[in-house]
Amino acid sequence: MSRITVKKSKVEHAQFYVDSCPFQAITADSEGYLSINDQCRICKLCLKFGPDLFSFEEDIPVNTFHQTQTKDIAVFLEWQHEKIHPVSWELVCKAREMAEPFQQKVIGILVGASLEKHKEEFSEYPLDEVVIYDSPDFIDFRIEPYSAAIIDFIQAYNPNVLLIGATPLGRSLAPRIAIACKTGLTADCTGLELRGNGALIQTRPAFGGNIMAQIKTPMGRPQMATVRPHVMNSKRVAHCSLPKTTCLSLEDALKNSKIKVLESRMKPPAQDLSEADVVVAVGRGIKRPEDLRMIRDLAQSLSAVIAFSRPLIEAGWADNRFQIGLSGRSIQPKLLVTIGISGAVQFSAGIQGAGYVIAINSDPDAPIFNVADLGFVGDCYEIIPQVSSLLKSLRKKE
Amino acid sequence: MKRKNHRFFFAGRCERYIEEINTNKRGEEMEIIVCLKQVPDTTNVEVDEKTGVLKREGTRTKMNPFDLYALEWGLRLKEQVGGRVRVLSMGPSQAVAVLKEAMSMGADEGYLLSDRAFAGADVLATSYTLAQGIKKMGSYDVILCGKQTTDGDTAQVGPAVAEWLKIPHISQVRDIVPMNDCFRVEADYGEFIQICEIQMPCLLTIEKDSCVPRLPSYLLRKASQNREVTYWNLSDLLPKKNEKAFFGLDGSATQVERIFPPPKKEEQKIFRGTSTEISFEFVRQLQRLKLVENDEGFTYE
Repeated sequence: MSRITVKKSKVEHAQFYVDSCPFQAITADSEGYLSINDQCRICKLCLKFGPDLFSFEEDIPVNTFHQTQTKDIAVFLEWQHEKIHPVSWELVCKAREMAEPFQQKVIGILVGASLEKHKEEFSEYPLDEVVIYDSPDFIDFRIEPYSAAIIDFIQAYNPNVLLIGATPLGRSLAPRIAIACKTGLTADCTGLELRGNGALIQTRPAFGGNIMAQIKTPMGRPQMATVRPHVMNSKRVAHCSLPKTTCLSLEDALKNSKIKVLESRMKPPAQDLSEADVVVAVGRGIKRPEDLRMIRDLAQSLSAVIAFSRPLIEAGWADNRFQIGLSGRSIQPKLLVTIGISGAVQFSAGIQGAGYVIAINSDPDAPIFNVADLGFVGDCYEIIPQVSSLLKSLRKKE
Repeated sequence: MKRKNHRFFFAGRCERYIEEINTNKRGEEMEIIVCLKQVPDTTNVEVDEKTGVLKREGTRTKMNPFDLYALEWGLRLKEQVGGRVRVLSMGPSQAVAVLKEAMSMGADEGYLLSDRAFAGADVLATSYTLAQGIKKMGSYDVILCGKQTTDGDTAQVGPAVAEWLKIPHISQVRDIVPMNDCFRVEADYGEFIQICEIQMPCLLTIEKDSCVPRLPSYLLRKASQNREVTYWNLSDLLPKKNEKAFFGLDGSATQVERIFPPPKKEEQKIFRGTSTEISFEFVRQLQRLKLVENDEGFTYE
């Protein structure tokens, strides 16, 4: 068993080490002897105090995987209701960027029904090959046939990397494939980088705090990652030729499902956050739902969509389609104005794509000021009405 | 007994099943397992940039809020069709608190998978350990999980457990109707809604706000205070001799290479002043960004 061990020697300032562990895994007895309890999550933070105190005992050799067997980057092209999800193209563009220096191919996997009409779309994105599983059995998303198709693809192509959009469908599908392949899966990556030895370095917020972690997958292939919509950029390219298309099919037995879809319907379109050029986001600094009136005034004069941080969504102020952050939407407006949002990393993860961020918060130490381009320290209840009336007076002059 | 036969067929726990049918111990009652996780009460962890040490505020923990909805649906199913709700968690010994809390809300039995060898687990190892525990718990009709946790935020462990157990699953379920040998469920895929029937045994991850979780009851809390929780450690969950185990850090496919504070943007400006000064500066910035018309005479005296 791999574990962190502590040298059995007396230390001074034992409490310092106890406090340094975020998981309360380090304890000290009255004489100053340290020990590690079962709370330890092997985050390895304590190792920086040096091997005299803490050391990491490793059981099995890492990097046991034979990396030569796998190559190329595969991207799951999510298809539902006759449409390919835009996140799929964002991932294709990211995959191309990673694949280019190493002469790897970018392969799309498309599972669905009556897919002929999408072939035109393929030429707009930098794909080398598209593998298509086209059957009426795939018209509705059901977990067993969809994962069977992807696993069939992995067996046939042995990709080094498999990227899936972190949509509700992708988050349901990706873990089943990862477990079936006994490989690693990193959710909601905000950064991806391919190294020369084929290792995929995956960056994501971790431990539920204001910390980013770089994660690699020494065991298991493909290296799997999901990425939320709008985290990567997609660019249409004028491709001269269509990518190669390969049609594969599954045995009938693998298309069986214990799920019967009775109905699948689109949700009514809401004013969409992800399309908005200007977003005004509000957080706990707004005390009562009635106070949203002044926010609506401001949003109206800026033609902005109003978004909310997680606490307000949880309090039921709005539909969760208007939530920004790790558990909500990632947005890419030209301008984002945050009002009364402290800016926990979960929130900030959703605004990385914003062109310019203006933050208003009464607390000068709020972490939002670390991610904002321009910060205003002040009371939004005084500032917002003044801004609105200034904007109105400007308009009158015109 | 249609449902029974079906279960017999898919769960593959024949001996125990035949025994149950013969003795008719529980009749048509439903076996429900709810997976729970203990999470930090706050997500407000910061890194000291000089030392790289995590600064933590408070040491309190709570039940993952998303799991409350799964537990509530489990208790409702039990009330509708009869049966029992068993709750399962993996974590340090302190995680027993969430199992006790669930029991004070109406869960019948608690199981805690706890061993230092389970620590440092990623999705692969966490879901494997939970699946090993579920296999040891015996037959079941449905496993309910919260949609995601507040600390990991990945929403991956539920579907991963279903894959280890080779049962179907549906994520982000917001309504469950028990039918004769299946559930009719409504799943929220963000842009679309699916209504489907899923055969038992199955795993469902529950959407937030799909029900109102009940509060713990004082009477149940008193009654459950002395009820024992079953503890299983590594030796209880080991697989058959020739099978590979995936526990803890060693069984994880991923590794954290390094952790670091999130990057700060460069050239940041913080503007301080009176509310009026700020308002004028704000509008000036909007003009600079060409969001409102530029007006030469617009100054603050």
